[in-house]
Amino acid sequence: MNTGNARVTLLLAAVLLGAAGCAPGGGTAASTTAMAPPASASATGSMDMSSSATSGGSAAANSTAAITISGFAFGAPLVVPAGATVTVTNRDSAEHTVTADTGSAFDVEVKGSGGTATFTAPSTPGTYAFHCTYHPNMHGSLTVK
Amino acid sequence: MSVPIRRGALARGRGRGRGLDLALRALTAVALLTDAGIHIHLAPGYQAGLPQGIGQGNLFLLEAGVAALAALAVLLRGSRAAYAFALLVALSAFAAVVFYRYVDLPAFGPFPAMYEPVWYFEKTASAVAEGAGAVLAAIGLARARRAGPARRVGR
Repeated sequence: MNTGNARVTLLLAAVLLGAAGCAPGGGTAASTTAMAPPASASATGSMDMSSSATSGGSAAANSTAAITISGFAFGAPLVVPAGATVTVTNRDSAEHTVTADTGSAFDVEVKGSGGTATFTAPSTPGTYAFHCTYHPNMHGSLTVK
Repeated sequence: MSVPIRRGALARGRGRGRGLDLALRALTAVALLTDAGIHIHLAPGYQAGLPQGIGQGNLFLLEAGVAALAALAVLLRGSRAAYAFALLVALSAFAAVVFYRYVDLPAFGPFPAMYEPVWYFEKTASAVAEGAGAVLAAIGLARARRAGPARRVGR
């Protein structure tokens, strides 16, 4: 009787310890380059939106791009011209942030349930990994051409 | 017709049983404390992300506090009541994380809408700890019930 219980207990212990030793499964951040000077950012709670993603191009002060957050994910990596205006729409009920992993290239908070925010893409070309400061699994990348 | 049992073998069996009970208590407590630690770690971010009602981070802290209490009860007392409390805490936490992974329940009362359709390391680890804690607590409860109404396991 005790032997049977011992086997069950040891099996469960092994499962528990095995689970605790799992490798991290979170997303990985893309590599970053030197950060550009901080860009201006603004946030609103309104539903107005927005625009299509753009890629390539030269001077892009009036170019726009969009990030749509849904299901606690930023979606596909985004490619934008330097200085483009990036609009972020949050379709989750929870608030999120779009925060550059290093430096202060951009950092905006986006209210939930359709809230939007905008920020200006860095002026220095490179790939900028970003994350949500509230939810450790959320990672994305923004490539500035 | 009775089978003679040697005293030494009986004592060895009791010793093994006591060791097993102590291991069960320790493992149950580790599972609950792991769950509590992860919730405390995640609470500030989730509170900022979902402050409506009581706030998701505050719920995490509440869950962590109750889980830590259950862990201490199992570790220090090992009674049926302690295991029953641990089972209730672990099972309800496991049910909640799985439920909100798959069901988009709107906010109700003080509870915000906590639908989160993803698994990631911390979340998975807490769910595994909760599930393991529930199973271990159920085993502990069954053993404590068998040991008798007034007897604590591991003593």
